[in-house]
Amino acid sequence: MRLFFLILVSNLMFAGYVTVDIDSRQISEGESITLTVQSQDSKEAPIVSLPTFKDFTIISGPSQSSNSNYSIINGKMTSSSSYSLVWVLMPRKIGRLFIPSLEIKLDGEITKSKAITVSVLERSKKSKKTAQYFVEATVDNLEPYRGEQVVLTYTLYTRVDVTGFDEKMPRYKGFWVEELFSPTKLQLTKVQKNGLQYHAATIKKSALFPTKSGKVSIEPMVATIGVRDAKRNSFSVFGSPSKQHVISTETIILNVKPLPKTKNGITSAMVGKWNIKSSIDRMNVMQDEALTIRVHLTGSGNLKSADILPYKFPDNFEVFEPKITFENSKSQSEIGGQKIIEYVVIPRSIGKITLPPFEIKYFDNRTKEWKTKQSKAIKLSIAKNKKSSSEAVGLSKEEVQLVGKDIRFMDDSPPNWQKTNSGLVDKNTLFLVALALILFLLPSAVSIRQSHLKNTIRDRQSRQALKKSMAVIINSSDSPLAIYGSIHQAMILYINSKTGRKSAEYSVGDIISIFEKHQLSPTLTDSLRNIMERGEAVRYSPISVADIQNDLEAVQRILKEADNGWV
Amino acid sequence: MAGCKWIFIFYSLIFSNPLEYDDSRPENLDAYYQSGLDFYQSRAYQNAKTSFEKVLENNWESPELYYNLGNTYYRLNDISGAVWAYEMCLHHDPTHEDSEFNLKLVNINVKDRIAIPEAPIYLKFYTGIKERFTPNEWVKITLGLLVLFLLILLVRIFWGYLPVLNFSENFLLILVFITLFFTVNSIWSDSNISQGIIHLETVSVLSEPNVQSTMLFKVHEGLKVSVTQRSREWLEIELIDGKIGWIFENQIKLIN
Repeated sequence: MRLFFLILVSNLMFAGYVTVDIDSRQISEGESITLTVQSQDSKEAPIVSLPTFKDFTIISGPSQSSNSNYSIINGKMTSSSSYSLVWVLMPRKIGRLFIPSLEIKLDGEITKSKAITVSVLERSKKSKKTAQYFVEATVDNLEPYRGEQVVLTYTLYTRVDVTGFDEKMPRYKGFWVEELFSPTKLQLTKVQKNGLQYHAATIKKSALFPTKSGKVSIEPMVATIGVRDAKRNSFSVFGSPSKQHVISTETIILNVKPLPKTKNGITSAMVGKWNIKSSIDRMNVMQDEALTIRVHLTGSGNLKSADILPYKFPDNFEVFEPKITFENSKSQSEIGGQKIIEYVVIPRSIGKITLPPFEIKYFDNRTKEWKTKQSKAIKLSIAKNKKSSSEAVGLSKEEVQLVGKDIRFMDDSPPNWQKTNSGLVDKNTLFLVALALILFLLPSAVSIRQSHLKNTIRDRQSRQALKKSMAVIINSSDSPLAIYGSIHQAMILYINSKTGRKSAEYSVGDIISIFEKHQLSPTLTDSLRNIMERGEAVRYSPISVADIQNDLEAVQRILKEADNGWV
Repeated sequence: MAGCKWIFIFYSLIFSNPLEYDDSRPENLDAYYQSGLDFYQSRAYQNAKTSFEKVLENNWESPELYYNLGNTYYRLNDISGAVWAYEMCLHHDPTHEDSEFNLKLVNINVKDRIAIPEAPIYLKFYTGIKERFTPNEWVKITLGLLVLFLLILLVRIFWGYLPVLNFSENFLLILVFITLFFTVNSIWSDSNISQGIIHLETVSVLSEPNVQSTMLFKVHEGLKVSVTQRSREWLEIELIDGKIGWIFENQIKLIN
């Protein structure tokens, strides 16, 4: 029965439409359906956004194909093109299932299809009995305990010629899975099944460990099988062509039983049959030297979850993170082997020390009870190591004297506050740096100053020449001889100060010529000569007080003028 | 008279507390400290701890504060806190005898006891002198000796040669160089060798700065370790016996 859902798409150029189609509305469990989305007279392939299929698993798809037809009718050429998208879906359960509405974009127009109902019937024993080929999933225990090993086997039965087999494993939600057997090539053997003779091959064998209790289902394994077509094609030289079919196993529901409670409340994830033993690499042990302790857990069950009960080494043992290795036993029927926990420890003190036994607790699924096993205790005699650097673990003599004493009382002296993380330099330090710098530079500064004074003495004397010589004149006595003598002395002092000479006596001519040399005006030079000559004559001839006074004033004026114009 | 004035200024600057001139110290600092002392005396150790820690939160510290805080931690059975506080006190005042005594007493309670071979006597002597003063004090000592040397040098330059002065000058110059060596070494140690106290009960020391790395060994609260490297929030520590490993920064309380 074919079902069509037509969706017309309006278009100016094309009258495109799309159909959503499934190959069957009623199937049996383990059968697949084909979902086809096909467009007619469209410019391009439809774009389908698939919703989430709750009831189906997509086995394959989309596979796309297109077809164009050209025809000439009454001399007029017409063309039509069609595109199809195909998915293969496998129902996840039996009952009335739905393919939800699909959103399809065709030539820019978005349309929605209607939901499609599919009835999935329980796989009939009769159909199974008469089937030409089928794949079967079996478990060795439908009611395991949580953590107990369940062996799941997939077997292919066929009475026809199988050309290919491609399986897709389920996710095994709720299980820890270890693969036991997975052949690269199917080995077919003759077996009787349901009263018929089949060729059977084991496809895969896995060990499942339920991680939770209650009803836990193993989802179907889906496979694509290639089967040689029974109708022989007489034209083919290579034999009959092969046809692909999708088949699946049934859903298996396990009733996982919770592990019974233990008496002391200590639980473990270990189920199966286990043994424990421990070993040490050497018995002659020295302080501070590493030694290796190995704990071997051997048995059948989930090796990864096997572990010892919490163990505490003595305090004076330095313990490193253990190294864990697995050695799986090569069996196709169950998982098991050996787990080795390797501790590297360093005894830090000397003496006889007994390491307590290592323990495991596991649920024996055969006797249905919890069991505890332990390794033998390890007795160690740790010798003193002379090379040991940390020998004195105990208290020193000084410390022994402190035992039993109390701390000293609080310090209530005024605190010497300082800012947190204040640097090296505070005010005092800065002051000391400045002082050291000053003291370091002081001799040089003094030396420079003295040198400067020495170099500028003539300038300073020259600047003070007028002042000094004026003082000599003013301080002179009333005696004309003394007055003119002081004028002569003032002149000598002035010239010496100005020129830096150290001569004690100058003649009038010398004085006048020096003044002339330093560009004293001729009038003043003449005036000075007259005064100087009068001074020489005063010894022999009297002179009035008024003249003396005039000469004194004149000399002072001349000196001032000379000082201003001295070159 | 002018000379007397200068001597007075020099004296007051050398021997005065620099913080007497610092007005930025909060007024309530002394109140917090005093209440901490009062709480301690009345055996309200938890309150005393809060008061002392308030002072530290204000970024002020003193050897006396750390000493009293160490006592408070000890009374509260916080061994690592007490070790840290006494170490901080000695870091600021290496001659604090009470702190030294209490630290020895508290260290009896530290689980990890690492004994190392005794150091040669000259090294002990050198370390003893170096650790007698803080880097800051070493700077001041060196500068003080330098000032004295320069003063003598000046006297000799301006007042002429005297045999006593010449001897003092040479002696002081040698002392300046010795103290300068101690100063440089002390500053270098202070700035390059960081130390800390383990302050969680048990800390796993890892081989790399990564939680997935291998655990090398375990250390316990109160153990003093050197911090040799930092990588983000991880610190590389070195024990006194040479063991090296990485721990998380919040597992250690750094000294300074």
